[in-house]
This record gives sequence, structure tokens and C-alpha cells, in this order.
Amino acid sequence: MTFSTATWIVPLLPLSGFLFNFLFGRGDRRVVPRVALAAVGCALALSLVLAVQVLGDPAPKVDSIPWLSVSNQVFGHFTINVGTLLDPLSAMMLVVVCLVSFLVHLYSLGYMDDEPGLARFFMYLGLFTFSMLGLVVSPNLFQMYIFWELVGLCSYLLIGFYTSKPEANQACKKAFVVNRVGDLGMFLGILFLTYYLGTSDFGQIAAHIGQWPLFGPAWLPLGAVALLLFCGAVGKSAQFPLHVWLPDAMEGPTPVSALIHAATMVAAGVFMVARVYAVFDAALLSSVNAPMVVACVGGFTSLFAATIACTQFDIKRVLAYSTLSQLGYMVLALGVGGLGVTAGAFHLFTHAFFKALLFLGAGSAIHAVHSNDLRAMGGLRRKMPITGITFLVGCLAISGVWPFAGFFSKDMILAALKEAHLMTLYAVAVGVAFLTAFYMFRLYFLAFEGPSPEHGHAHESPWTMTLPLLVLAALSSAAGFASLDYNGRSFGSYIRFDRGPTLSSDWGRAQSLALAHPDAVGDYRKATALWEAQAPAPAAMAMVPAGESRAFVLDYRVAVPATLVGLAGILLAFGVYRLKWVDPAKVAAALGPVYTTVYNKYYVDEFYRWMIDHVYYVLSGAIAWFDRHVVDGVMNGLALVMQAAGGALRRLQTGRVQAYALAMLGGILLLLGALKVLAP
Amino acid sequence: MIPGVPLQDFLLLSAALFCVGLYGVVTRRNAVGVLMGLELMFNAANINLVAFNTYLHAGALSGQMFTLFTITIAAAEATVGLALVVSIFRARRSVRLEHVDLLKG
Amino acid sequence: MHLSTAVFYFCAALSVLCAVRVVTARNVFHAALYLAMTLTLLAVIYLLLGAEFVAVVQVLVYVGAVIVLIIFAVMLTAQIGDSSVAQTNRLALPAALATAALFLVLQKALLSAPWVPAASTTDVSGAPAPGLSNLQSVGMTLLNVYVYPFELTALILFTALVGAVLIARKDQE
Repeated sequence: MTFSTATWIVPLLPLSGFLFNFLFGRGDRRVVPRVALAAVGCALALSLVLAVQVLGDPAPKVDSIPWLSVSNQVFGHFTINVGTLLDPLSAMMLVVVCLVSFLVHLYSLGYMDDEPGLARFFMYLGLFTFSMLGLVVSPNLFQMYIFWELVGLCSYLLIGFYTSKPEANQACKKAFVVNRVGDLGMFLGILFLTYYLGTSDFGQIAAHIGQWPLFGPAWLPLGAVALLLFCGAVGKSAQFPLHVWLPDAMEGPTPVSALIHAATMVAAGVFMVARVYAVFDAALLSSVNAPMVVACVGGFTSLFAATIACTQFDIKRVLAYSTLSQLGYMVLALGVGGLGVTAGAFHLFTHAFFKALLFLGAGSAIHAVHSNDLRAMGGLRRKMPITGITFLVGCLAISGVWPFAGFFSKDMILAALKEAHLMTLYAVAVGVAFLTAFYMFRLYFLAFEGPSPEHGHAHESPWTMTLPLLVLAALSSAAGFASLDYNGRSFGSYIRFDRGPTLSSDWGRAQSLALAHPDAVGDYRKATALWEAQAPAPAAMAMVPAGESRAFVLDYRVAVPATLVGLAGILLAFGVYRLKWVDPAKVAAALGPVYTTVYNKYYVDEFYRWMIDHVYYVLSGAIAWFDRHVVDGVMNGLALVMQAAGGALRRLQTGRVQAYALAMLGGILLLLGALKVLAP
Repeated sequence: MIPGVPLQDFLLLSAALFCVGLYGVVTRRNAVGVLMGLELMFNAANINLVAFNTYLHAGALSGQMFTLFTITIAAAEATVGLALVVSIFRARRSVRLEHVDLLKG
Repeated sequence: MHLSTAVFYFCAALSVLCAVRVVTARNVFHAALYLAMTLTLLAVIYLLLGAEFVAVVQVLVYVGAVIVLIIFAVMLTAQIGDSSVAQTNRLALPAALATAALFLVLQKALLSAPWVPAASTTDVSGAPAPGLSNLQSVGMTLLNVYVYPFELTALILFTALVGAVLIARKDQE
């Protein structure tokens, strides 16, 4: 087996770091972090090399070996391969993950310096990096699912890092369980897709998805399968209603929040949807409009989370809800399709940088005042200038101010919405942009400007913490320009979704075959035979006109309102929190129950608790009763019957030989009688 | 060959003796009584053998030879059996069979 | 009516009666005596059948040795007040029914079977010469045709002897 690329080495570097630390590290506080850092550094270097290679040659390269081959009536006909896929999307993700992970490793050297479990922390970070890298290079859905679960495991381990904090214990369990709910739907989707199409490889899925009306069962529209897959994204990327784990995940250390719950793991859901986008695109032709559902879920989540973020006082919670909101943006963009796929991926790219920056900066602030609460912070910019300035850069980026990265990615999303004429969602997106600017600058002004609290002994953090901040700030400023057009090349020319040229004709042909041969629908063997027997339909015209540009184009009708709205949000925050135009507490009191509801996160957690207590536990109580009394009852009853029968039969064992002899005589007589009856 | 006596009468005699002996084996309390019943059963079989020899295999002697051997073996068996009874009597001071029920479950 | 016919029926009936007394006598010693009577009557029947050697062996071995052995055992295991206790256990009724049933079945089977005399060429133990007496025939057959079982029987008797001595001896103090 020859490998056309060295992609497989990239995930293995942090894995070897993890294994080395696990086997030989012995918890050494000096060796383990440096080994982990070195491993991720090498992975970063290699991923940059691969990215440069991809820029020159963007065709997807798959290196895989067959792992599991199934071919029977019950489980279907497919082969699961194990290997790597290198294309622009995975190259981008490799760079993002390695870079952010490297910076977080560096930052943690300073931030976690006085933690007792330092070595364990770096081991988990290495394991996570391996899992995430494995996820982004997976060539098929099964391998991706394996790494998906691994990533969830690492999230569990890292959120619950402070094992002595009960809130952390609860939070990591919650994260894992809520993710499992989403993963159930995703796995069902994977199974359906693989069973009926006969493949789980991304390229093959895209090629054959047009055959679904013939290959898939009549009762399962493709849109339903797409939505099942989307369940995984709902869980992993914390969309409503499975968003509840992300704010609680802030119980973990701040570097963890930066790496996992801002930049990388939560982006996995978005990444997955982008990978199988062919399924969502084809679902437009089926009876369930999956992309619209996706867009609505994303839009709703972003608005929902943005409102909650305006009320929170815990700095990390504000950032968590901000993450939810931005993820909603990405999902919304993907749901729109077309330019939206590029826009969502680009927002993922830029968001990773400025959100990581914001979290790490927040970590610095927390480290300085030893508290998460915004009300205990103030005037930190004067005490910690580097942190303050970089945090300001991050806020400007997320608010979509030119020339920072967020401007470009947000504008792309809005342009995609406008292109698709989804004006309600467009309005929602603009509203969310306003709220984003408002609550981010509320955060900035409360923490970094204004009067300092009395016992302020904050000081600037060591270089291991400020260097990553500077690097991320630079990236947040410059990354946006990657979307512009350079001699026909741009972010959008590499990462975009091109609808397959034969999708419509394939779909039509599959539908007519399905109508003509209803017994073959959903039966892989018969469907394949039918499909290959028929002469191929004449090829349709290419759906994507050549040279269509996905580069960022400055459209003033989109850019101007967006920027104005952002500036308005900043201005409002400035006015309320610096110039004290109104007292926020009075506004909150005036809004009364509305404010309380939003502050309590719309009581979603309480609703889930109620559901579990009153529905789930009741159901499980009934089932437990059944298990204890009926199932066990049958077992115990059987045992009792056996005992009674044994006790009765015992009386025959008198120990007296004569009785036995008489019994034998009786037996002989019976036999003779039987013989007489049966053979007269 | 006894004139006027058909073979069946011998067979009935032996069947009767056998059943009586069986009754004795099952019913007697004394171990020696059981062995006596057993001897009756042996003799019933011997009657059968000799009768068959006389009536059905007139020129041959196989039934009588068989009988000789069974008498011998029955004697050996009675010997060992009575030795056992005596030994049990010495151990338990009783030959009543209801007292020998160690296999009671 | 031939004399032998009458003798046979008399002996048969009496032997059955004595056998019944064997199994129902309260006194074990009486039962042993009744057994001796039964066995002697059977010896007479053997004589009537022309099996003289068998009859003599019956008297010598069974009546002479086995009965004596039984009487010895009765004496060795005698218990005080034995004769006052019933000698039949509580299985008496089921046993009676079962044996009666068995007798009926046997009787039916025996009476309905066609007893066909065998062809004379199949038996190797035939009398060597027609003029010899039963004793001579038996002797010659025993030591020619049945010599192996004969020797083995000697071995069995020896084993029984040793076994009985071993089992019945008193434990060494």
C-alpha cells in the first residue's frame, strides 16, 4: 500500500506524545508538558507543509486500507476503509487545529503552572489533539464517527479535570450524555446511508447520492437521513435543543474552553455537515427540506444564545453563549447552501482564531483577579496592556468591524442569505450581529475599562500566555484577507460545494426506475443491477458554470448595514457601560419577568430536569418494576418450582433397596404394557 | 417328557414361583428373608431351563448344563450375600432392612 | 392318568404353597425350612423330567449347602423378640398387586406362544451316544464341550470363598 501523502503522520504525532507521556512520563511536571508541546509543534509544521501542498494541488487524495467488508442480506454490502483524506477542507482544519492546539499548549505552560495535575492535563490535551486531527482527516463516516466519540471522551476528561469540584463532575457528565443523544441520531443516519448506498466514503457518497430514490427505501426520504446526520451536529456543535452542555462546560480550565469549546471540537459538527453536504444538497430534491431545517435551527440558536449572553455576569459564560451564537451562524450559513457553504467554513476558520483569543484573554483576566465574575473586574487594560489590547482586537473581530477577520466572514454569510432571498433569516442574522457587538463590548468595558476594584493586584501574565494572545490577535486581524481573490484563487475557490453535474438527471432516472420496479427499491442488489443495466441517461449540462467565483466580493448593500449595526452595538455598549446613559440594573428591573427568563437561560435546563424526573424516571420506574417482578419473578418462580419438584421427588429416595426393586418391577410392567399397545 | 403334562404347565409353575419369590424380595423385613426370596427366583428360572431342555431340545443337554452352572453361581452368590448380611448385623446390631437406608435423599 | 402326571401336579402345587409360606412366615427359621421343602420338591420334578444329575446337584448344593448356610446366618443374626414383629414391610400391598400383575402378563404371554421343538442338528451339546445314561452324558459334555466354563466356575467359587471370608470376619482388635 502506497501513501500519496504524509497526512497520516499528523494525527500520530500528538498521539505519540500522549503515549510517551503516558508510558514514560511518570507525571513529571517538566518533561510531560514540553514533550506534548514539541509533538504538537511538529504536527503544526507538517500540517503547514501539507497545506502548502494542497494550495498547489487541491484535488482530494485518499489513502486508505480496507478494514471491514460486509456483504450479506442482513447487514448490507459495503466496505469500511481506514485512512486519510487530504483536500482543502481537511488541510484547513489541520492547520487550524494544530495551530490553536499549539498556542493553547504554550499558554497552558503559564496558566496551569500551579495546578497539581499538570502532567495529566497535557496528556489529555495531546489525546484530544490526536482525536480531533483524526476526525478531520477521516475519509469516511465510520472512521469519523470513531474519532467523533473519541473527541467527546476527551472533552469529558478535560471538562472534569478539576476532579474535586462537584460542578465540574456534573458538567462533564452532562456534556457526554447530551452529546450521546445527538450521536445516536448521527449513527442512525450513518447506518441508513451506508446500508442503502453501499458506501460511507465521502467522495462516493457525493457521486452516488443521486441514486437515492432507487437505492433508498420508499419510506425514508433522503431529507430524513440528512436530518439524522444533522443530529450529531446539533449535539456536538451545541445547537438548540442540545446546547445545554456548552455553558456548563466552562467549569473546565480556560485553555480547555479555548481549544475545545470554542475553536475545534464544537466546530466538528459544522465540519461534518460540510463534508457530507452532498446529502443535504440532494435532500432539496426529496420530500423533507433538510437544509431549511438546518438553517432555521442555526438561526434560532444564534438569536437565542445572543440574548442570553447579554445578561450573564460570568465572563466565561458570556463567551460560551457567544460561541453558541457564532456556531448558530455557521449552521445557518450551511443551511442556506451555495455560497453559504464557503461562508460557513470561512466563519469556522476565522472564529477559531478570535474566539480562542477571547478565551485565552479571559483566562488571563481570571488569572489576575482570581474570579470569573465581571463585577469583580475592571480597568484591567491599564494593569495588563497586552491582554487588554488583544482582547479588544478579538472583540472588534467578532463584531464584524473592518479590517478584522469577522467582517469578511460575517459579510459572506449575509451575502449568502441575500443571494438565497431568505429575508427573515437575513433579518435575524443582522439582529444577532447587533447583539453580538453589544454584549461583547459590554464584556470589554466591564472587564477592561472603568474603575478597578479595591484589592486590585492584577499584573500582566508571563510571555507563555501573552505570546499566543499576540499571535491570535495578528491572525484575527489578517485572516479575513484570505477570502479575497488572488489571480482566481481565494478561500472560496478551494473550499466550496459544487453540486454534482449529474445530480438532477440521476435523481430523475432513479425515480423513474423506482416507479417501474417498486420491488427493487431499497434492495441494494436489485437496485445496482437495474441501475447498471440501463443505458446511462445523456449527461446533463454542468450545474456550476465554469469560473464561478466564491471569493469575497464587497457588496455595499450588505456590508454597510452590517457594519452600521455592529457600530451601533458598540456605541450602545459604550454608552451604557462607560458613559452610564442608563443604569443596566434599572433596565433589568423594568423588564422584570422577561429579564429573569433570559437570565435563567429560558429555563431550558429546568425543563429538561422536569422531563427527566417526571417522564423518564417514571418510565424507567415502570420498566424496573417489570424487570424486578415479572422477569425476575419468572426466574425465581422457576427456581421455586424446581425446588418444590425436587422436594417432592426426594421422597422417592427412601434409601431402601426393596422400594427401588418394586419401582423397577413397576417400570417393567409399564414397558410391557407400552409394548403391548404399540406393537400388538 | 412327562406324559399328559404340556410344557405350559411347567412354565406356569416357574412363573408362579418367580412372582412369589419377587414378592418376598420386595416385602421381607429381614435381610435373610430377602435372600430366600431370591433363591426362589433362581429356582424358578432353573425349572424353565430344564423344562425347555426336555420338551424342545430332546436329544441335547444344553438346558441342564445351564442349570448346573446357575446352581453353582447362585450358591456362590448366596455365600457372599450372607457374609454381607452377617457383617452388617455386626456393624448395626440389626438385620432389619428399613434400618439400612444411608442413601436416603 | 399316569403316575408321573399325578406326582408332578402334586409336587407343583405343594411347592407353590411352600413358597408362599417361605415369604409369609413370621419366624425366619420356619421360612428357611419351608424353603428347604420347596427346593426338595423341585428336585423331584427334575427327576420326573429325566434330569437326574441336576436333581442330585439340587439336593446336594441347594438343600444341603445353601439352606444350611441360610440357617447359620439366621442363627448368627438372631434378634430377641424377632418373631413378635411383623415380617413384611409396608410395601406389601403394592408388591402383591405388582407381582400379581406380572404373573398375569407372564401367563398370558406363555400360554399364547407357540413352543416349537427345535431341529436337532443345531445343538452341539447332544448326548455323545444314545445308549449312555444321563450322568455319563452330562459328565462327558461337561468336560468336553463346556470345559472352559467349568474351569471358570471353579475360579468364581474360589473368589466367592475368599470374598465371603474377608467380608464376614471379625475386625482385628
